[in-house]
Amino acid sequence: MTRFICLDPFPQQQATSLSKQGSHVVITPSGLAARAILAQHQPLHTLALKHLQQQGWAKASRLQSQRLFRQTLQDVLQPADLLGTTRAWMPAMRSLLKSGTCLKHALETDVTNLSARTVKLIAVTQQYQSTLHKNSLVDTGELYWQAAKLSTELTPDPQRLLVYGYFQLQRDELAWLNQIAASGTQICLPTCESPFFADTRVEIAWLQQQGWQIMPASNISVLLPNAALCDNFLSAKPPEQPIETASAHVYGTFEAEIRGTLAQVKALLNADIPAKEIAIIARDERAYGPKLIEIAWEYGVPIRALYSTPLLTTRLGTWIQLLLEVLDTGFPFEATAKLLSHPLCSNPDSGFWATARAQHPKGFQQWKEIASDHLGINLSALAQVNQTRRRDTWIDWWERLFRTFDLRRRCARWARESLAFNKLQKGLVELSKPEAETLSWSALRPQLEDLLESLSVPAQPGRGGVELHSPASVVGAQYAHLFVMGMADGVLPPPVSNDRVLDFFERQQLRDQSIALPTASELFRTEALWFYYLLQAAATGRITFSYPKLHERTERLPSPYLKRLSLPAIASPEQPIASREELRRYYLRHPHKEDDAILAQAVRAFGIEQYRESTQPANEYDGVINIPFDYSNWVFSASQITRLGQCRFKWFADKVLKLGAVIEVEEDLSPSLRGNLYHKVVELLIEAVQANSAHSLTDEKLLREKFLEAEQAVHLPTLLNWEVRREEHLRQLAITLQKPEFWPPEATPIALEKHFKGEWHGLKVTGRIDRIDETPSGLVLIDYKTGTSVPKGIQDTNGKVTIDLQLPLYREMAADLYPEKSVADTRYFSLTKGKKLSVSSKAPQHELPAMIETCKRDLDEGNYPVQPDTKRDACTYCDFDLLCRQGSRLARKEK
Amino acid sequence: MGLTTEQKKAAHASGSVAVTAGAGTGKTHMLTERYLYFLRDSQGFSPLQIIAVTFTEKAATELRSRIRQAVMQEMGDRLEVLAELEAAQISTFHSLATRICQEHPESANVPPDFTVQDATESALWQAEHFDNALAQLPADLYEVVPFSFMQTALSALLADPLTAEQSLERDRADWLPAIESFRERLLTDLSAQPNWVSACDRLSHIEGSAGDKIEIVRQEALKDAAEFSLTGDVSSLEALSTLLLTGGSKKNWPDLADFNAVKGAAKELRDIAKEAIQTLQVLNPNEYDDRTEAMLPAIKEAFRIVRGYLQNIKYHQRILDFNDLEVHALKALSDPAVAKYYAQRWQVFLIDEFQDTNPTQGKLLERLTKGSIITIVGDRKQSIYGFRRADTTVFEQWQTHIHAGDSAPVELSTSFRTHHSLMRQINQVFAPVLTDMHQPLQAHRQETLSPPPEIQLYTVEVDDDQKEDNALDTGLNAGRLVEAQKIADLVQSILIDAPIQVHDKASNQLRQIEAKDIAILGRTWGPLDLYSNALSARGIPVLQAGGGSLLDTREAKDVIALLRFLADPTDALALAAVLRSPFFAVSDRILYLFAQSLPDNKSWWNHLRETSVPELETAKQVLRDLLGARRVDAPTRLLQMCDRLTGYTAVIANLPGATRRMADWNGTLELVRSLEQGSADVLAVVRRLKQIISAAITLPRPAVEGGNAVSLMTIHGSKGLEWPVVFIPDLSHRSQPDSPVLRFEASLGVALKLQDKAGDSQKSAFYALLEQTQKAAEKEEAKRVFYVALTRARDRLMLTAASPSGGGLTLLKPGLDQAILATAIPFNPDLAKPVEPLPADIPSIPKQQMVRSAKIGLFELPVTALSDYALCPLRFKFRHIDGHPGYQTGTGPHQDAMALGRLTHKALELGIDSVEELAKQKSQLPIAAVKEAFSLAQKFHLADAYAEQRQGNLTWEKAVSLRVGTLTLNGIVDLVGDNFVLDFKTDQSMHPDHHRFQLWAYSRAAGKPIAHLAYLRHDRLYSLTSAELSALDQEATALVKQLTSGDFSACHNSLSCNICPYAEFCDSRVI
Ligand code: SF4
Repeated sequence: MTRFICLDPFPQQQATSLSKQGSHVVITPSGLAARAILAQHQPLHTLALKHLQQQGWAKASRLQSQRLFRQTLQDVLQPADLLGTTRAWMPAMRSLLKSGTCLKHALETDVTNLSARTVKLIAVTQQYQSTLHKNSLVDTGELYWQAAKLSTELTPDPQRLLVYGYFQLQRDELAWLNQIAASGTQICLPTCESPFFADTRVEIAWLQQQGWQIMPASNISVLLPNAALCDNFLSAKPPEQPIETASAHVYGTFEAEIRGTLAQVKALLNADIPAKEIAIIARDERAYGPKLIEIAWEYGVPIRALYSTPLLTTRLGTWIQLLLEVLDTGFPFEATAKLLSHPLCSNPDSGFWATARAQHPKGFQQWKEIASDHLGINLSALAQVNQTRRRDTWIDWWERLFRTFDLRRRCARWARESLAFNKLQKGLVELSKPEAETLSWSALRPQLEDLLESLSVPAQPGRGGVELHSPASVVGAQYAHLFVMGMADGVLPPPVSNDRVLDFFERQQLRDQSIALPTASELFRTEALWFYYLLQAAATGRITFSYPKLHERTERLPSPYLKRLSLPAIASPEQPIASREELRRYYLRHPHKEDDAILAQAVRAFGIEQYRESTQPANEYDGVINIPFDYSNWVFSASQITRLGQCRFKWFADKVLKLGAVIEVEEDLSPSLRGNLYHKVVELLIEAVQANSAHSLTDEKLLREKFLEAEQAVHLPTLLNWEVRREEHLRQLAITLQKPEFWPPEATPIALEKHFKGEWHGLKVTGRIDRIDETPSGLVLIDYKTGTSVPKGIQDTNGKVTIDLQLPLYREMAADLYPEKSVADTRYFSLTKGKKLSVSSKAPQHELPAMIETCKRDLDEGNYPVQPDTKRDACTYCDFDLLCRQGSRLARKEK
Repeated sequence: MGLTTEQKKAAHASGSVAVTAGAGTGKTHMLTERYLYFLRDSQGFSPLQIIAVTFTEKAATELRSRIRQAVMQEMGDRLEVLAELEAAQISTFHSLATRICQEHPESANVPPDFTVQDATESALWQAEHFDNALAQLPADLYEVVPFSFMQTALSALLADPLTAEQSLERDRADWLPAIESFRERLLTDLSAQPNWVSACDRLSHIEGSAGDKIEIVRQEALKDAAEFSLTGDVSSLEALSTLLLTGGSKKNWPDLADFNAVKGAAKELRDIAKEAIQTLQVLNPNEYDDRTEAMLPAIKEAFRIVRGYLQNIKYHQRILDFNDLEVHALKALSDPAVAKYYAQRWQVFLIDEFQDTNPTQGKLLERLTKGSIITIVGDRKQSIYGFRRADTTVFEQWQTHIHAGDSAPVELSTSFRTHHSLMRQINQVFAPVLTDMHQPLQAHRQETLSPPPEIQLYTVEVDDDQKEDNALDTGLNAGRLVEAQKIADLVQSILIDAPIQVHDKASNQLRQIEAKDIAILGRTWGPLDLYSNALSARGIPVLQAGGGSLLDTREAKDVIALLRFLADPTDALALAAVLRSPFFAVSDRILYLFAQSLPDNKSWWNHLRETSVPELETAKQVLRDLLGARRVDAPTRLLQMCDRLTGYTAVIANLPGATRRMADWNGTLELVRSLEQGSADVLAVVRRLKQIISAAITLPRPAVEGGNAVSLMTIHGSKGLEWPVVFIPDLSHRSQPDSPVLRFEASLGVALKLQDKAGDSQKSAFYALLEQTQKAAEKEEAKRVFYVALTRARDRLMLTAASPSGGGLTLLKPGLDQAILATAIPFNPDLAKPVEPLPADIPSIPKQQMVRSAKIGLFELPVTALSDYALCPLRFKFRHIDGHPGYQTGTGPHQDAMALGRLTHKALELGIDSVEELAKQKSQLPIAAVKEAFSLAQKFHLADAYAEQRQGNLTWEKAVSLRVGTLTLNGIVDLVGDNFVLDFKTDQSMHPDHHRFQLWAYSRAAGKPIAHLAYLRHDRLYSLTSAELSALDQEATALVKQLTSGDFSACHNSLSCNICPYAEFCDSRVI
């Protein structure tokens, strides 16, 4: 019986001719590798699985493993955090199993040099393993060992294999291969004289011990363009001649790198290079995938990202998680709104959200009503979660819930969500066993979360297009064009990672126990060889490396591998325009053919925006519409004129365009709400005191009573912590009310919230005066403020909002209301500071009439420029900032 | 590059060593060498035993890269070392703490699988949960501490929980002595102050005629001052503070200058005395200290509850923020087992930028480094992270600790960065400013530069007439605009008008200056905009690294408006904002007319949908499409679509500041992507954005990649960098002091600012003390910030200010006075205006253009796909290109049928001869189904219909592949006989016609002339003869051709749509 190891450094051609003979069963790690040697793909583990199956064994599913391992951990260790510990310990457990050591035996030897945790880990793993075995199940980590072990009892039919693409065979794989390989079998283990192959050499030696033979080197010498590149990598020596088929580019940013790469890919596709001849490689596919897909959409480049992503990252998974959160937190507003207005649950235009926003439902009952009224969904089932049920009843409950929400149908809009739905359903079926076991909600919940985290779907299901791969997944493949992205230090190769349970130090200790787990150097070599085989995958083609100088605000250095390759990164060459969007960016200010209506529109928009940014005066795109506004019948309030006088556009947007902010119930006490509340309290209080002389302003009980009344009157929404916050407001008001300035002994309030209507500087005006006191020297008009400073007035000639408008207006209106009395004083009174706020004596009040005239003139002309005061006080709290496009540009505008 | 003697001394020290490394003294070089020293055979450490801690991730990457290079150079290809270097802990403190928490979750009291929130996430999280946490507090606490006070106090304490915890343990006995010693120090230091000394000096050197009022004052002042210096008696200070400076006559003095000088000096003394007395007064413990004492237990209790509550939620949500990491790592390390764990592993520590270590980190290191060899590197003068609790005293303590014996710390004092003549001036400036902290640096660079480098200082000066002119704005902003113009002048002159030569570091040669050789370093981001505008207006490329918040940019606001509208079409404000924006550029006139036509109670969108206004048509269409897409597409995709439909990015890519704008647009897309994660829904993103905005969280803007441009950044951001030419503007900037309600200090306690009966704020004495010390510390740090700034320069250094004094100018005055002369920039109102921006450069058009989409390029399909395609190409696309499983799949009868089919195949393939055997196949099917599968399989072996097919040489489950044109079809033939292929079916109904292409392909691939379909349920065999198959050749080839050309248009008819698993959502279905 002769079995061979082929050490040819470039085995693809030789393997192809062998595979073409059809005399071997070809084993490859991926379809890509199979394709490279014109064979059908069959991975090694299917052989092992088949063999297990024939003996009535099976591999435990992910969920089965997870559940059982968790159970074992709980039985043995009772960790403080079971879920987290399971997740953290899983990888270490697997690598123990993969090492193929007899754990029972290991525990029986002297373990004093191991940490207590490691000993526990071994014990847990051993127990987990034996429970699996009792059920004729194996963990995925021990698949080959177990298959090999079972074959000593019942030998599988030896097969004549051609093993290609498994260039870094592990001990367990070798053990299994050794069992099933028939005479004539050939394993390709491309190897050179380099310390990078230290581990491979050990494996070869082992195989030789088992009687395998090294194939004599083939004498067909092939000249591969990139062979030199591979050599450079191993030797880290500069090449004798520059390598034409490899290049390295550095881009400014991550985005630029993706654009540059995709543009090159597109150029190739356009040149009729088949997509299968091209691949994009990223060490961390997940980091590149989303952005790559995004730009590929823009470019119209078919891209396929095949990596898998947990259910938790899908719409369905997120939605279920949100549902769990909502159930746990008692239907709070924000989360429930997101849940119920999600496309998986309602139609965005059903008006549901607008209603929810305006009503701010909270708690199950309120939401139930809205959902039934607007979405036709009956939420009743959700009221009954806090129960203990049988497993199958629980799963039934979920199934019914899915039907209530018609989730399957809704998921059907997306291929990936449909896959996710199917996965989830299958997962639930597994979760329903053993059926009769009872489970509380809190016990079920983590298991559901587990499900969402451990089940996965492909990032982009389907096929076709240029594929995105990691270096490991293209081992053995062949491409005409490879684009390797992210060639940056710390990214490719990534740092050698330390397992959090079994770090490298601990692994060293384990070696003494004859448990051989990969060391740091082994991992380093594995990574390096992946890269080496990546170079081989482009042996006959071109390979282009790239990295971004900047990624998320961090600067990146080139990968040390580029240095090994003696391939300095150069700035990328000019890229072709690869999308209509880019084309427009280039052509906007160049003469262009008029066949793109959108570009024409963009040119127009550009002109308008550029004008806005310039020093030119405002035009019809900046509020100057030149349509006279007939204000003869318009009734202004004081705050309206103030707004007009602060920034014409603000008033225009609000009153003329009628663009008030959207109504949403407030979650917090906004300044305006607070103002209303305080006003009301004071009003009620004064009324009460005036009505009954036994009452006193400083009576705290009375204050509290009136405060509560005022809350009702202003429809104060339910606010978090209001009970305690109210106390503070009461205290604040009490301080103010105690002050003699609030109600001087000589003053008698004769009107509260006094409504007025009249004409002022040619404008119809209306409003209320908070309080009018009669004093010996005449009337005193009071306007309450909750702020601590005089309110901003309207703009003066210097563009500062210093002219007070309210008090002069009140003064004149009071004169109309009380013609027989004289107004002695007008004032702002701060209810929080408890004192009068004085308008600065420097305020240019004399400019008031003139400024009102300019307001009127602007109304007459239809001029509403975006022109706040120079310090932009008007813009603080202005709702129209999104609309008016204010910003540093305004400083450039002539007034 | 070799090592200097100093560097060598540090790098090759046999034991622990503390190194002071001045700016530009080759610190990283030394650290690399130090690392290597430990790797060499004489020491023989593995990288896994060495811990290197750096201040930033970037520095860590750089250090690792340098070490890697050095190892390769010196140790050849010692892969072992290189490999372990990649696994070595060379990282920031945070990563180190993260590792400790991950490895010891139980001792650290963290969930084993936690994730770390970034600053934004953590701020948002805090905003979301804090109010709920407050609701947990028992009402009686609020009786002692009012709600809003509690709110502010707790949020301040939570920001620094460890210090808070310690401070809350302290009481009056801790801070009272501190006040005492502060007072004493104040009094003793007063007369040693330079201004005091110089004032006394002036007073004693000039004399007026006896009897002159001022002469009397002079004598009194001298007497009181002398007495005070001698006795420290406060009463003489009080006397000084009440000096009356009126009266006196110039005539009684040698000249007017003398008269003024004496008055000035006396005033100086009076002011010093006044200020001191004021300070002494506030340092008297008062009723607010008592009230604080009464409130503290409640605050302490509240802190405990709130912190516990938040930590608990975090634990359950499995998250930690940056603050938590160190706190929990420290907790883990207090477990002796954990400490031992690391002591076994880590023997050597290299810690960089030690001056910026905070006390928690100090403690962390203390526990980690016992018995190890430690190398700490730092420079007290460059400590500028006080706001992150960096504390230079930690460095000092470690220095003394490491060098407790007779060994001395090592000082690296040769600067390889700054030219010697500039270095000399920098030394001059900082010697009197940093006083005893200062350590002069020697410059290595001695080459000749012309003109010889010297620090230049320009200050904007407003003359008196201008000041008095009310119509003229000479305020701070105006001054800054003039300053910006001056900077632009200077840059233009050295870069364009008369380009200077600069020293090229890499080649060690002089070369002509380029834009990227210049940096402008501001204390804050604020004014950098002005300089950047001024420079760009002259066509000088600039690069502003960041500043401001992403959400404040116009691009982000446009995105927000669009998303708000898509989330809620009734949001009229958002809709109008979208219409006005460059998406559609609708004029206000049109909007006005539209609004006029708006019926009452009708939303803008509903009205727009139903009316027809030519100018609004495009917008209507586009928005309608987007609203439709909202049901399926994620927000980022919607934004992309909107750009495609409107040309938005074409507009911003051509406006002034295009690069910045594009970066902001892309940054906003990235933000939206991070917010949409999972849910992929607009509303979720909009709500999240709303939360960010209302919590006032600053989201950093994306960095822009430089090219050849002048850099603008903050001094903090410039740490570790250098440029040939450095500008330090805005030197007169004064920072606004903040006055929080609460201050705390670990060793002293917690101090409060409270309200009196009238509602006014009052400070307790302890509060005043902390305020004073804080002020002093900030002042010291401000000096160091300038030190860092000035030492970034290699060849040229220019300082500018918007006014002639104040801020940094005052701080640096003692040094600047000696070293340089300021040049005045006369205030010019014409320059004090914002400049018109230059439009972005018109891009040149790349030669190659390819806007049309590329083809999908199918090359490999399962054989069954051909049958699908023959049925309906669109169905084929759904299944094979989109990978859609169809609406029917999942569990249920359909699934079961498939599983049954599979099991039947298995029984046939494996030749299973009993139900029991078959049941072992783990198919999850109920036993009845297994039986059914078994009996179906048996049919093949028994039924007459298949008698012929049981004969001869049979191969089961044969993998085949067939190449048709560019397409490879793969499949597995259930059974290959001598001259036939056969496919088993377990279907209830028979549609042999549907499978004809599949059979064709099997037969062609296996090279067998006949194909059969065995319907096991029906005991039926359908056969395609050799002739029938040949007839299919052409049809099949044509089909494949159509397929590979990418034609996926539906071929619908009610028959195929009826059984189509995609009918549910297919727009082309025929019902
Ligand atoms: S944000 Fe400012 S400029 Fe814009 S409308 Fe409001 S006040 Fe006017």
